[in-house]
Amino acid sequence: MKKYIAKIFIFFVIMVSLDVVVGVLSDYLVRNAKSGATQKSEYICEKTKEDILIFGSSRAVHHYNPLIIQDSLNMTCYNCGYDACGIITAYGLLRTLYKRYTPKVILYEVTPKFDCLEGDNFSFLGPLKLIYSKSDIEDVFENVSYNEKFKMKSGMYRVNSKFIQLITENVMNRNQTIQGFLPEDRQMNFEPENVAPEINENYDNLKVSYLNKFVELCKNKGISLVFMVSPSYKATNDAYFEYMMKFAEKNNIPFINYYCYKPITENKEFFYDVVHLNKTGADEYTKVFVSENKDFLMSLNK
Amino acid sequence: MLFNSFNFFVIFPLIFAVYWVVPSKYQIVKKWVLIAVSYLLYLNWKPIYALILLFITGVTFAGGKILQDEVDGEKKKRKLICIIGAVLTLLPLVVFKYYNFVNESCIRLLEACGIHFMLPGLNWAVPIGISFYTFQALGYMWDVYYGKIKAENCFTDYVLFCSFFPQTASGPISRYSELMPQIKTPHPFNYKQGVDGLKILLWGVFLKVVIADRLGIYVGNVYSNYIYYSGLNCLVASIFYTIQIYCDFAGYSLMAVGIGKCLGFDLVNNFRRPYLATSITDFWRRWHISLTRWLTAYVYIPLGGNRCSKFRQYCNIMLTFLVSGIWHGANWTFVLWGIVHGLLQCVEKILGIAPKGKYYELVESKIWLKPIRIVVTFFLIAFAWIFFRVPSISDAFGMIVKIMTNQGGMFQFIDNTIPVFLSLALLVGSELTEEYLYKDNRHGLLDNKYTIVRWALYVSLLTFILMYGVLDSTQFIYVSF
Repeated sequence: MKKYIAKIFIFFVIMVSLDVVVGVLSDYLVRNAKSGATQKSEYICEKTKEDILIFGSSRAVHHYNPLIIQDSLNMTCYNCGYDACGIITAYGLLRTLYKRYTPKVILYEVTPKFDCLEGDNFSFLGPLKLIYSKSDIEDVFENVSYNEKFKMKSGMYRVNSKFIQLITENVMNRNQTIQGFLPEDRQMNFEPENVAPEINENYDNLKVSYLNKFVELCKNKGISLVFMVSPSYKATNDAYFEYMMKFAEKNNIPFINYYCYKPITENKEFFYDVVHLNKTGADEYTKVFVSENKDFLMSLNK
Repeated sequence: MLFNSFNFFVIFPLIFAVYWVVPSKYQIVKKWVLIAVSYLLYLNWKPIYALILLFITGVTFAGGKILQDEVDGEKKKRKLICIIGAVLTLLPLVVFKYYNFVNESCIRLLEACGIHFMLPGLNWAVPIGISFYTFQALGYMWDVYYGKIKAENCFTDYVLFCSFFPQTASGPISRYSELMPQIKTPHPFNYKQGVDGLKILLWGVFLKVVIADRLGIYVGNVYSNYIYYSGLNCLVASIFYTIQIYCDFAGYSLMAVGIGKCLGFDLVNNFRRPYLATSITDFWRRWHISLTRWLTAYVYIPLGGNRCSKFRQYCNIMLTFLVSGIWHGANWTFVLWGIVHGLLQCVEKILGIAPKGKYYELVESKIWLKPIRIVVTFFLIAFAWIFFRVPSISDAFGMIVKIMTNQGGMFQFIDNTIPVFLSLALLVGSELTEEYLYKDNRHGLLDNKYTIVRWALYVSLLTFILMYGVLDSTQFIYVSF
């Protein structure tokens, strides 16, 4: 038994040493990332100073071109959206930057699946893991799962599934964004059979509590929060967003809804899949969005 | 508590320490430690359901005792006792797992006949591992009935036999003759067994969290939105699911075997490189071995097995696979999956290419044919898994039509391509070396004769697990069965 325990101990020491090395190396790689999601996380955490920040899921990151917004509104803008991320990620990101500076406006692209409906919440921690060591967001991890704060002590776990991405983003320009915006050049080459999202009313308590925290943090910091919904292919009914609309109404948050905006939803050339606009569609939509709401958005620049 | 959860890896060293700190001479204390741990882990999920485990344990223990007492009694009486015992044992399984399915099927059937009749559905979760421990306990009672074993006298030992935590959630379904002697015999710590246990545990975790769960993310995306994806995407997802379900279930089984070994128990390994099978018959000798032998012993052979006419044998095969399908889940998709496997086995028998068939030796002698047979078998199995994975039969056919016609749609490849393919290469390498180089059940990679190679592999595997594993305690596919 002694030999057995001794060997386990040696193995444990080797693994801990390796873990520390990977942790140090990862921190270095995060700090020096040239492109992609890592550089974006680092930028949001350490360098953002824009007037307008856009938060949300892939429908935020691929749909809003900050260059068009800032040219039109004369306010600087950065897109903080991440693929498959929702309110938990947005709140975590806001917490990493709010002590350093306060944006004037936050535009939040609403996606009920990621913002209020039941589902896995682990994946929302992805973009936050890389900046965990430099920000005070332990409670966010703990809320998603009590064990996460222990797991995050491991350098290897912090870069779980991202290590090769970290290296490539250090040595080459990969997924280079335009102020956080990631345009898609593809075009939808098929006709989908069913485009309506499934409506369900199973709400996620954790996501809803983070919606409230996000709103509260914005109010406390004097940030003007705006909810918005971008177009979806052939969408004709926005009942899917009913809960979020009521939530916005209850909290006096403006809700700008282009979900069923026909000039875009009926045009297949603007999409690369049912729910995502391609570059042409994103530029077109951003132009419509800022031009139709210019006065209102400018009024938020106090 | 799942073996791939963070909590389990914190608790297991404690269980290990408490178990081994008790000297072998206090065997009864060791047993109670294991019983307490087994029930506490089960209670941790849904406390009330531990009563079901206890109920099944009690019914089969009493059934075995009564059958033993009536060993010289009337055959009819023994049969009746056995039937009553079996019905009582199967009752929780039927109620929890099949009530809604039977209810909904009856409602639909009656509606088709123009009769509107409704019974309320049950909104209860199926107790974890109920199919596994029910079958294990039932197997014991039937062994007593058939006179293969004598009834157990010690209730403590029997409670541990039914609830032994490494195998409660997802098997393997142990035989009384395999597990009970190990429960009864005091065993001091065995260094080699302990080392083997950790190696197997490590490999099991790797299969589960790195391969199965990583592929599972992609498979889940495509299967749940297959109408949006291209036919090629659907084909890739089907192949990945074939690998996912193997790594998921084999991963769990290996973890169970590894944990068992660390505690001094040798559990049956459920898998023997199933995707290197050269026929469907061969596949079922390598896949979920403990269930296959259970179904063979308690369904196929009592039906007459192969000692009857050819037609009757085919019917027996079909019935056995029907039971296998229903055992896996309360859905027509599982029934169809069982039928597909049954039909394929019958076709092999009719063509004479199954073991003991007319052309079996001829086909076996042609070495060049082997890789082709392995590939064909793999794709047939992958085809059948489509029925297993989808929520309805119409979705299964929708998916198959997509694959066959390669209809358009978006194409998306898997994230983390390099680590995924690296780990798949490791899996293939391990399977091939075990199948063709090592003939003595050694692990293809982890039993290398050079210490440095072994240790490098241990470190690499754990590094891979931490850096590329899906570490959010993802559910095991077979736990829901």
